[in-house]
Amino acid sequence: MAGTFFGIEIARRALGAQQRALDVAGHNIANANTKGYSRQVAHLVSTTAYPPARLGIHRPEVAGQLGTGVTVASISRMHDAFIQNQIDGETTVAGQWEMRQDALTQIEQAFLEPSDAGVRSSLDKFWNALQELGGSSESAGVRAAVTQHALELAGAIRGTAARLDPLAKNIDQTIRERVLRINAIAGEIAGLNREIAAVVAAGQTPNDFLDRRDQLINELSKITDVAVIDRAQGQVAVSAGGILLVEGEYTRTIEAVSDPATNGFVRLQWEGLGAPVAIGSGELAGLFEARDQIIPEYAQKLDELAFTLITEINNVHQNGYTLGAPPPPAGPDGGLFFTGTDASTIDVHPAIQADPNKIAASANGESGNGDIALQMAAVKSKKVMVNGTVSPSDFWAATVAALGVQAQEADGIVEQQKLLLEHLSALRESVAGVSLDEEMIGLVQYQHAYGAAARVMTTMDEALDVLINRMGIVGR
Amino acid sequence: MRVTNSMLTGRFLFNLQNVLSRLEREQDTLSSGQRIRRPGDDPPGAYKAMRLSTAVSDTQQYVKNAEEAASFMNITDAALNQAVLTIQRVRELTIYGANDTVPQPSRDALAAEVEQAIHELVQVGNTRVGERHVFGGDRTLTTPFTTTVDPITGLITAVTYNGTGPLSPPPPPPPPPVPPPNPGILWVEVGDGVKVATNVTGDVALQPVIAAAIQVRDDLLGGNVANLSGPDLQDVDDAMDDLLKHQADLGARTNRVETVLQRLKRTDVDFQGMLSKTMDADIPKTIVELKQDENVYRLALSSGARVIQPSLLDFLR
Repeated sequence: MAGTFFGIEIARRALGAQQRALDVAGHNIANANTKGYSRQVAHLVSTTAYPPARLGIHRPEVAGQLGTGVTVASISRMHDAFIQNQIDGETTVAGQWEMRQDALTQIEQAFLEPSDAGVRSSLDKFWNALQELGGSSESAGVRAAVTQHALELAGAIRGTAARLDPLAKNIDQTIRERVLRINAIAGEIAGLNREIAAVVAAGQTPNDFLDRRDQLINELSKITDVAVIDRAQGQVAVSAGGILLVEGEYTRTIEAVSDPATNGFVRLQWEGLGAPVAIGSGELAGLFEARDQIIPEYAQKLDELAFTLITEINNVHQNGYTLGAPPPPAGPDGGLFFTGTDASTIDVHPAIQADPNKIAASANGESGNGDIALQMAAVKSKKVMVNGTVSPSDFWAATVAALGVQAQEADGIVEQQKLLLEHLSALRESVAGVSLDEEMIGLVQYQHAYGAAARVMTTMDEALDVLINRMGIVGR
Repeated sequence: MRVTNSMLTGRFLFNLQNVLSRLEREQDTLSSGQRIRRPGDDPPGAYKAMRLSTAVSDTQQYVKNAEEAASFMNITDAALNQAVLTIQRVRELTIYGANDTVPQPSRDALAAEVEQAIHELVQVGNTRVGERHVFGGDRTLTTPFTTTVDPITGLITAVTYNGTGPLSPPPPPPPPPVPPPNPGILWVEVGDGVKVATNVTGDVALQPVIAAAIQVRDDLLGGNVANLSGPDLQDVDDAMDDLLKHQADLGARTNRVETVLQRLKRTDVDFQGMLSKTMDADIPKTIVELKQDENVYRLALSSGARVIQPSLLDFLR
């Protein structure tokens, strides 16, 4: 027969277990809005029944088996590692495209096309002024207008180049910041690995540590593509680009080294190893791409346009005669119209700025001849770019269109990733998220059970009271 | 699938963001009137818009060029008219002076009239538009016709043409470049690569009539009746024919410019229409979309609010 106080033990176990369950529900409710929290569930399990099996001849002759109550076997974390993995992977892709989108948007803002504030508009106005000059090459007013519009064109091109220039430098700075964050996260993961291993060794589940580590890994995934490998005792190893970043409690640091070969821009290498960090995806990949490919590509196209304008117009201009120049057989005295070699240095020659009569509009030295001016105007539509297939006007429009295509693509993919991540996040929530209503119901359940268990305790106590105080006192 | 509170709020927020994003875009489109705010909004549209803007700007400049050319050519034509009337009067004076019965003093008076006519022709030849001389070829800042006056008689003895033209080409520049093939022409561009000659040079149009008039005056003063009725009259007729021929040629060229001008004006309107279709917002369509999205926004807010607010807490005592 089970012991006298067997009933009290059952009640005691019930009270304890329901109380633990209430605590777990309380923890869930407290963390309902905590980012990255996975809900925890107290697993209530019946304790071993009495009498135990396989006693053989020592088996008591009672009805059995008799239940012995309940206990909390484990507190487990509702979590789907597969979905978390998927989320991390898609976060990496999203990070890369977001950085691309950022860079392309900033370039669009620098170009200011297809509005009337961009280079196209200034180029068209300069062409108009040259046409006027072709028809009225003696006019001081028209000459002054040509100088003015030439200055505006040079200014528009320089201005666009000046807006592009700081973009790459900002991205470089952002890369440095991201690297600092990677190293900080790696350190935290290593610390968590140690704590988790200690808890697992004690036979328990480090739920909150695991949540925190998953969150850190997710943050890390956004910055760069990492591979997570499970190790013993709940630890993980994290590798980036094939080299271990975190292993157990140990980390490897990534350095951002300023490289004189690329004008002081950083490159990433592993401290100690000196090997370069292989970056496949994530924000870092997008940032490097923006800094090293996207922005330089468009800056170079602007330079190409400026160089072509400078060269072609100067070539025509120097075969012309200025106003008041000695006529043939004296030679042309046009000289340079534009100075500079690229988008940041293009300017109108100071001699022309000082004296508009120095614009060589005439092809034969006569004041009424504006052929050179018309030839300069013709440069806008002359097929002299891209191996003689495209005119400067068309080149610029095509560049803007190409930028638009890339920007549109980036926009589309960023939207797509947002949708995907939202969907995956909902799936994750479905498994790991706290439902307040669910917890409330749990609270009610456990509360009732607790109350009932307390009543059991009272009943057992009263029964024992009868046994202890009121049995065997016959005749007293 | 198990549904939690944060799934509801998450989805609610996500959809709200999408609707707000669309609303922002529509509002920006309406307030700016532009459909394409950045190249990424419509890349081929942006390309087309840029090319069309350039085409509109170019066309408007050609219109301006053509209008100025037409005006210049009309002024030239008026001046030539005056020259024709003058030389016609000289012709009449020549015929009258060739009459044997006219006494010499009368012929002297006629000569004085012819002298005036010569002055008039020189004046016509020096017609200006602004600072630009019309008949000087492309040497536009130099007075085309200068006279040499005999100090004693006060009569014009010679008229020199100082401009450029087919009969008075300028010296060639050192090679290269190649000198323009038609010297003295003032070109105007009225289309891509399309050039029109807008002037008449004084050397071919006016110098012959002036020379003929001087000859007539001298022969009137000298009483050379034979010359007057013979070679002088012939010269005057020939010079007048030439002048009329050049005037007709100018007229034909002016017609061409006016035709081109009309076509350019139509093209300008067409291009502007195309540009507007590409760049401008479709206001009615955008307003409809805005109204639709406003409704979606309201629905999203109200349905979201209904769903995220109640919980079991409201009902447990």
